[in-house]
Amino acid sequence: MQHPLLKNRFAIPIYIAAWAFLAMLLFMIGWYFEGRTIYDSAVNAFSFSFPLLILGACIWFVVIYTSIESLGLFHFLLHHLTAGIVVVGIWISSAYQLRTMWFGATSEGFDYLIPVHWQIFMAFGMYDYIVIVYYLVMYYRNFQDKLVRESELKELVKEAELTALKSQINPHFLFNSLNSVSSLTLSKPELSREMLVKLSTYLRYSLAQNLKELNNLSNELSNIRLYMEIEKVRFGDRLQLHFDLSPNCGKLKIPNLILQPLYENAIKFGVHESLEPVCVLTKCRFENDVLKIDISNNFDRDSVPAKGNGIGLHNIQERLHLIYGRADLMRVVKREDQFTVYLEFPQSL
Amino acid sequence: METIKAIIIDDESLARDLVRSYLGACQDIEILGEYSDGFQGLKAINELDPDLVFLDVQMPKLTGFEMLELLDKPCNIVFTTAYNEYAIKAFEHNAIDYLLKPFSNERFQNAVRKVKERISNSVTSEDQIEKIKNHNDSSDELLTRVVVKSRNKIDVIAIDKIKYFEAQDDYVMIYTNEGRYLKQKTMKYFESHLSPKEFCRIHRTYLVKIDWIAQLQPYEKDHWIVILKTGESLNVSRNGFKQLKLQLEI
Repeated sequence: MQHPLLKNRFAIPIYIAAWAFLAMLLFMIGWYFEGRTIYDSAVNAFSFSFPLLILGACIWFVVIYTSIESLGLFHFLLHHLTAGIVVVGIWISSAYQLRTMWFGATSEGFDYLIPVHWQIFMAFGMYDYIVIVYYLVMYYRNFQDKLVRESELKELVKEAELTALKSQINPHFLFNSLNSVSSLTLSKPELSREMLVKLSTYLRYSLAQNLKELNNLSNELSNIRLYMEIEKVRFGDRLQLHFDLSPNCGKLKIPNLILQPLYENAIKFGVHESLEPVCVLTKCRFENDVLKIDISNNFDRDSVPAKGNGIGLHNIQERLHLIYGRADLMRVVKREDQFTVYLEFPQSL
Repeated sequence: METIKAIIIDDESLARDLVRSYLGACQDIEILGEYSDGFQGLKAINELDPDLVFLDVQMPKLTGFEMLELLDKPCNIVFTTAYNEYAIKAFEHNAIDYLLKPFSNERFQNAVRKVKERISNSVTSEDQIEKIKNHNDSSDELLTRVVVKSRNKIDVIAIDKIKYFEAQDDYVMIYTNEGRYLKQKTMKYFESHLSPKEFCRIHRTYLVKIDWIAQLQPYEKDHWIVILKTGESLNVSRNGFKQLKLQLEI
């Protein structure tokens, strides 16, 4: 942490002013109240206060390395008692040195003007006072840092939630589907109603979920089926669906909506770019306490697809890592004309 | 007024159905055909010479915009798409209207009215054709592929496959491992629509893919040449050398 005297451009002038005030006070005590000569009072005030000008700034380093939270009360007091004795010792002795060096030794020795025990008492008082000021500065600064960090964190969380929401429902999917509904109302009103119901059910499910929860595979897959059926209305025979499920899989848990981006990719890079039918195959099985899901689609080898940003796959990887603490649960394999994603969901968390 | 000959290009049959049924109300518009991808659409436009094309943007193989680039002469386009982000680009391509899916019959008839106005005071001059062919679109979207039409075929070239571009008068020659392709665009267009991390303008005549550079050699005094991994050597101008040094961080 930066020294408070260097942090603010007013800090040093204020510090010097406070020091000058103390020196003035000492002078007034000597000259006005004790009735000593101006010279004696000035010498005493200067020699006694000058070491403080340097020591005061140094005490900061005692303060930042001595926190009551990490040391406990007893050690905290012991630290400051030790540091205090050292500081006071240096202070009183350097004050004496200054006096004798510049103004010659006097018969009073250490007890010049103020008896030495009063000097020590005063020095300790000053030490405590400075320490308290520094702690206040430090706590205030920590408090402000915390406020800033908290608001930054809130911002981040909000952003993450927003992008999560956005990635759940692709607006182009929505608008194209609505356009299909609009078309069906003219040609096959019965079908258009069916499609609207499917669309609503899909939207309700996708919007209702809290992204942290684990969900039954059967629920997740029925939502995926809804999505793919809506797409099938749009693309007709160009999209074919196959689901291959072992009977014991339905109740197993997967993070909700985690499969959605994979099917969106199959549509985007498979169906959108190909003139031939694209088949999306989903296989689920339960082996060794692990739910394994493979999703594959064929794609047109000659197509030059618009490059994706890979965010969809990256997000899945991130989420799996957050939930299961493992980075090896997703594998992506691109063969000649087949794109497959292998996923594993450990069932014992 | 003469009948207007129209075609519909969209990869979703329901979307085509909708346009057709909306057009049912317009007696003076005749539908010549419906096509489900850019290649078919391109062929149909060149053969049938329609007055009006309803065009989707996202289609397999060839997008609506790529198809427009390959047309021999401009025609009246009404875009129908769910993507609102292409509107500016569409009007830069001289689109008559831009219909956002789903659209109402009212909105559709409005577009048809605009088409009729445009056709009745037709301004299809040679100038306009040139303008469309050479127009540098202002969108900052980076290219992922280039479409090139030669005498008997259309090539879709992935940017990843391109080694370098060479300026040739009003054209740009594109070199890949498979061959070379001539495209009517400016070097400036490619320079501004490709990632500066991947491509470097090393010379007035050359825009080279940095990954393909094998060596940078001094050649006479104050002169450098670039040797590609496949052996070709290209001149580097003084500015190009500065640019290259900057991009390679040397």
